Amino acid sequence: MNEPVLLTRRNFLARSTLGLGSLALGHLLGGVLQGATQNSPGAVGLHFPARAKRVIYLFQSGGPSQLELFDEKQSLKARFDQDLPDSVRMGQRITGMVSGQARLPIAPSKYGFTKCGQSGCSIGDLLPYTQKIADDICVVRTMNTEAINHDPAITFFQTGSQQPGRPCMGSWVDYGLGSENENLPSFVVLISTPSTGTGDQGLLSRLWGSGFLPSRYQGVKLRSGAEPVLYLKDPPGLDRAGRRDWLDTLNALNERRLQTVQDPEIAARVAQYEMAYRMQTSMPDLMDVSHEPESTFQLYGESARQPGSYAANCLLARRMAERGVRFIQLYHRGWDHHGKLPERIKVLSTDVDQGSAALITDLKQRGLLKDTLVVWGGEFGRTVYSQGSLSHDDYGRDHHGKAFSIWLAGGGIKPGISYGETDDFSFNIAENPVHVHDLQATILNCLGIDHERLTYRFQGRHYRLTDVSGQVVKGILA
Amino acid sequence: MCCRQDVSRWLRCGALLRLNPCVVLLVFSLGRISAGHGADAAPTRSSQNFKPEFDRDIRPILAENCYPCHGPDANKRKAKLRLDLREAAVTALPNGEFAIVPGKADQSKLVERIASHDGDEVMPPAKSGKKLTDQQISWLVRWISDGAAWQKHWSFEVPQRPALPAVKNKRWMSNPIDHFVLAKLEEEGLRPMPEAERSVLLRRVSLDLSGLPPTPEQLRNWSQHSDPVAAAAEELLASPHYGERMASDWMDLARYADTHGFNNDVMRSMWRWRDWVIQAFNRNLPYDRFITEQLAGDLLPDPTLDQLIATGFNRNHGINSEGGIIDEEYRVEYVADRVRTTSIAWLGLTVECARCHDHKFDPVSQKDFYRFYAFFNNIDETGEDGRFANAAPIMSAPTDKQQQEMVQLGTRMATAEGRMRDALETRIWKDTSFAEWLPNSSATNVVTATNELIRLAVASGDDSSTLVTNLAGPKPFQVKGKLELEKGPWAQPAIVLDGKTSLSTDGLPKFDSSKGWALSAWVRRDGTSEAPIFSTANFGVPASAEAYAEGLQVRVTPSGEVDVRLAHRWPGYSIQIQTKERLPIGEWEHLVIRFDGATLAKGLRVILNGEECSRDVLHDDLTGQVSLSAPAVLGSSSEPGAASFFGALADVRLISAPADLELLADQSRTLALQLASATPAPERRPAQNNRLRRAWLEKNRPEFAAVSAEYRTARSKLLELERNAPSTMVMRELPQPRPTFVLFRGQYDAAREAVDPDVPEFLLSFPKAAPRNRLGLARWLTDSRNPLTARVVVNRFWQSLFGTGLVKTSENFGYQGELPSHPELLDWLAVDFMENGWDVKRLLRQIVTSATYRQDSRSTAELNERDPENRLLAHGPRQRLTGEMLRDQALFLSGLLHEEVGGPSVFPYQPTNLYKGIVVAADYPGTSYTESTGEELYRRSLYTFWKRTVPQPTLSTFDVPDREVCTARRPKTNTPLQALATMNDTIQVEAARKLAERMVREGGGTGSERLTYGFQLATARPPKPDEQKALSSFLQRRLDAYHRDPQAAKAFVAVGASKRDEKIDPVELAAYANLASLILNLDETITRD
Repeated sequence: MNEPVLLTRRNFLARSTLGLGSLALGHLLGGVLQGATQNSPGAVGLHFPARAKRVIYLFQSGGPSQLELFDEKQSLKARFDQDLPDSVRMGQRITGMVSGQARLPIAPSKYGFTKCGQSGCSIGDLLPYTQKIADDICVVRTMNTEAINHDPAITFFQTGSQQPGRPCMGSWVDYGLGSENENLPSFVVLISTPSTGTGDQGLLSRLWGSGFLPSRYQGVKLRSGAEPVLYLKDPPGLDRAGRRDWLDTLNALNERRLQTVQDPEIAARVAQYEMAYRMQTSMPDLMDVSHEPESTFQLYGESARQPGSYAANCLLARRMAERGVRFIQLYHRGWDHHGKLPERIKVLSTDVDQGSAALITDLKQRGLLKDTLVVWGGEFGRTVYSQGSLSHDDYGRDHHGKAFSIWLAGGGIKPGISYGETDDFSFNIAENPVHVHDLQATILNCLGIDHERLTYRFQGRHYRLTDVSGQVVKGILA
Repeated sequence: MCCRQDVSRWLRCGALLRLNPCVVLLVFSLGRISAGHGADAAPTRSSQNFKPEFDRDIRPILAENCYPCHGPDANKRKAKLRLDLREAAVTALPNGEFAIVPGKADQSKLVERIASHDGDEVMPPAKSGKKLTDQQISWLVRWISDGAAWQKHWSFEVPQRPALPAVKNKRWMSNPIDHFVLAKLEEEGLRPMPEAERSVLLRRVSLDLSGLPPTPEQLRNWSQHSDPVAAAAEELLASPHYGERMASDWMDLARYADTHGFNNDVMRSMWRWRDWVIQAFNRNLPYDRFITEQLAGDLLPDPTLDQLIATGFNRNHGINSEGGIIDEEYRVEYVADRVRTTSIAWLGLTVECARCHDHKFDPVSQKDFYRFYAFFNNIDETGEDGRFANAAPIMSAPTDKQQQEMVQLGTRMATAEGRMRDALETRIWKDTSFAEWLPNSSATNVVTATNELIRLAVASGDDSSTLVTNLAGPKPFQVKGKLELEKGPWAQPAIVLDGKTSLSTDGLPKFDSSKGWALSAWVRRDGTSEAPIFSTANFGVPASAEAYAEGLQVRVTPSGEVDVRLAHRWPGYSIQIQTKERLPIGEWEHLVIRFDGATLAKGLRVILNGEECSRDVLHDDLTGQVSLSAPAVLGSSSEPGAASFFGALADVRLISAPADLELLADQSRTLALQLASATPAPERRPAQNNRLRRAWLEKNRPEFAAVSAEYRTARSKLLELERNAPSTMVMRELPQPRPTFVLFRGQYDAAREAVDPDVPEFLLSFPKAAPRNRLGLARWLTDSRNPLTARVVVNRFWQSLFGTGLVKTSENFGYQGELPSHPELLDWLAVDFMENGWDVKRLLRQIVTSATYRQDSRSTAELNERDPENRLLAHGPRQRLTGEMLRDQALFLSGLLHEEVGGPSVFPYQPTNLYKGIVVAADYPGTSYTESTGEELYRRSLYTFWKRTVPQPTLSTFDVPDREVCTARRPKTNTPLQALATMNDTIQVEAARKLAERMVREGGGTGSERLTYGFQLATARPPKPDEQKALSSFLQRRLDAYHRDPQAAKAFVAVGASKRDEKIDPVELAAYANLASLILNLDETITRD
């Protein structure tokens, strides 16, 4: 078959394992671990022992209302349609969408709450499945951000800066820790659209972009359907054997070139082509849930059979966690409820409730929850006052960054607690604020990374995810 | 305690290198290790007698480790110690100690602290995460022992042309560049590689200068010259593809995109700017002009259209149209982006840090930042804008072809006008009666009574009870101020406005504005102040609200132009046009404004006395239907502080669903003629006389009518061209400069002290005679005494050809940037560049004809170990093709490339539904992707529609930046996603098939000839026998496979939109296409060797 001068594939791989080592084969999406440790990734953490090896971030894009879901305010019932007191607003800026509105009338939640689990954590009745996992999660009620519009707010959460140009959290983690597997990308993005059909706000590829980090750290966005990764499928008319032959010949010629010009990039390239070839099998394998037992679909719900649904993505997230994907970023769009909030939040809650809870339960059953950090939350919360007209059954809420809720679970997080208190209006924070940078610092901390030390030098300055601030929230750590 | 010992240990190490083997080793091998973290450049001299130099060796250590607390930022300074200025560093500290005692390391507190092992004592403190290496400590000690000499940072000194260094191997050199490179190699005991094989070298030059591989014919032609590389360079630099290649690089810095970015990421039109860049390179615009025109083309005397288009450089930043953002917050971001981009692109400085506080490393204070910012803070822009199209300031920028047509039309009009003038002047008009042939009309205005929303009428009565009624509405007008009446043009009552009076209606009835509307009125302008004559714009909501100033405003400018504003939200979401024609003072003129009900400025037309006006478009980003149902005001508007009109109005009418423009114009012309005719001859103005006489001749002299028709046709075509010309965003100064303030922590709403425009003094003071605006700034940048500009620019061209600049951190020449590998060469090139008129083509020619560039790109294992980035230039450059080149090469080799230069961006193949689930749900322009068809699928990659938030995936995979912000150099990655793209992207598979067709058709009769041909097209060399053998046995296996499965063959050759060559058997074609795909994936093919 192959000529004597040219190395066979087996020879080559043997050689490259020796010659390149982790250079190319160890890290699927490319190459050398920079600025990081030589320790085997994930095992001991970058700066101190890791409590989590991986992250699943369930991002609720649009800004879910904390007032209906996690931050119960009984006393608001009595204040229906009263004006938000100036003493509460304290001059807080409001968006251009309601700045033309004459009043800021208080809108109590239409929906009730239940004290759940042993902890008695109060969770909205719109989330019956989440209520059942109350003892596994930690609800943070005092998230806060300076941003009040979608683009800057979501960019802030994901990159640590309101303005474009910085790497996202997944890229930072990939850069810091590298990959845990050889056949899949280490940072993967999945997006679902709400069953209302419209996602409202754009998701920007900068949210999983690598900013100034090398582009190999950018997230790989998976698509539902036959070709989860772009260009994964061979062209029609070229079967696997044909591709293998093609690749063997190509590799042999490239290896010959390497001998001539002595450029290590060529060796890396050969390895990347091999990795691409392996991904052609491993990706469809990952996406194929047909062998999942019936119990899986009972747990996640029937919609998990529907590729591209939130529940299906939660299931994929678990499958990726099993396969060692480092950072799994889900987005569900549609939480931007300026009007008709009671109606629309019900749909959205139903969209995500069972899948999110199933993921936690499933990870726990499989022993994966202890080293997987799961985060659930949006880019900001919503105002206690109504945007547009207000009735008991119908109202809207504008963006609100000063106080809102998220939850975390798994590796490194204290389960069954709630953290932080807001004022009577869920407007300001009364106790234990958690800023976006604090959350980022905490997530990195769980992964064994000191957020002040994971830096990258760019344009003459060391950048980090948390910019110049961020405190690890010790109160929620296990 | 222990620190004492440490100090002495370090002092010993410093003095007697033998004592610490580790330090000895480090110091001796210093040639390969640089000071700062990640700063691995400056391979250097033999190190036996090494003396650390402040600028090269010491400052980077201090800047990196000490300046955050002991540097330029006064607010963060600890212990009152400042280490960025010598005087401060050697002066006694408040506690009487000395950080640095020159010549006496043992008395220097700095040495004690950095050498300490005590966790509380050691500097930098552990919690900073920074730690000095042994080598760094030993350098600091030695430098202080040697007297702690200080130097100004190298890049802040004006470059001087250095003498050419002496070298031994004189035969090797082609030009002065080689002196510097060889001198360093000889110092390092290295020898340069021999010249690369000719065809390989020519392929390198071709890709470097045009972005495309050479054709076999070019290779043959160039090879016949005595200096093939020089011949190739000559031809390539003259090719239109040269400009395309250079523009690709510049587009990264200029953060060019075809969308606005941010949440909505709507399509914009900036390709006229992109084409300006291509042409600027092609006509070899001197680089100082390249800078000046982009920075301040609008401020040049009598700027040309091209010079105005060039200013789009400063408008290429993202623009946010997310509902509800705070305008000022984003306007501030845009200005800051201009500062960032300008300073990275031409100064190689990242001044951004100083936006919030004094710079921690470079001597740029926060005040400096805002002084610089003041240059860019002075255009009439809005934070929230660009939801449908370009954001103001804009201009219409006809293409070259349109401009030519406009010139031709202008000539036609001038000729016709001349002939008409002759006829008008030759005839004796004394006895002509006009009235008899004029169409008889009792109408006093052009619109009929149907669809009326406003009709101004005055109920006569005695003076005290004068009532101005709205015949279309139930209630009379309310009068503010003192109302006077007089006779209008038709003796109808007209209202006289004295500059204080205005009238207003109640809210107007709602109507379907999608069918358009027309406003018509007789207008007499009596003064020169700017004021509205008609307005429904509702200013009664906060300026931040979504419907701020929604409605229509018609204003007259001080010089009489009619200014029409139709807004959803003023000024962001609006149309604004201004006529070039002016209302004369003291004359009744008939004005019609017609809007077609769509959302574009081209549907808003103005007719004056029956002739359509030419106009400038100032805003064109209306977001939908505008309601005109707010109360209407005549003679003023509800805008706080609005002036009132000084003049008279009659017959003001507003109707919905108006007649066609032509009909309205016709009627308006008749009215104007009737008025002229009714005016007693001695009182007629020249314009009225002309109007009447021209109409008379049109009616009575067929040959005149023909000329007049010719004139009208040409003018109407001209106006049509004007309306349809592409729009582009530009810089345009506000008449009154906007004051600039230092913003506390960079926050838009935290203004502090006011500042005036100025530049960082330490580089060069602002030229005395220059204006304090962007033009003056351009002069400062291009001044030969500016230490940075030329260095930064030549370095970037070097980077473009060699992959790495002489200064690797091409975006940062400051304290934190890397030192140049060949400082003298950089200075020589910079000075030579300036002294030769900033001639870019000359510079590139110089580089590519140097022996340095011509070297073989082969390396050795030893060299890889010693100088992995080839900073010493001991071999030729070897780089993977850029994303653009990779695709363009495949198109070119396969014959698919459509070589048209310039034009609107195109939509090549993109995976289906790529935007699905990502982009904003609203149906804005640019939120869906419709693939181009035909040859537009095969344009060069730089014309690919660039959506910032979802950029073209293959180009992104190959490291093309998303262009959200200025990028000076691309990362170079090597990933499996790249392999997948070159294996399976439709365009690659299609190109493989078309290349296969060429191999079969043009390559010869045998398989081996054909594969040789294909291989040679791609790599510019024939395959070696073993390569040939491997490829031909692969081909044979594929032929066998497709013979067994002809259906598979058919499927493979059906990929892509182009037709396949039906003369070739699909089985054969598929096998060759597999082979061609392999050739296109060879490392050698995707590399500039």
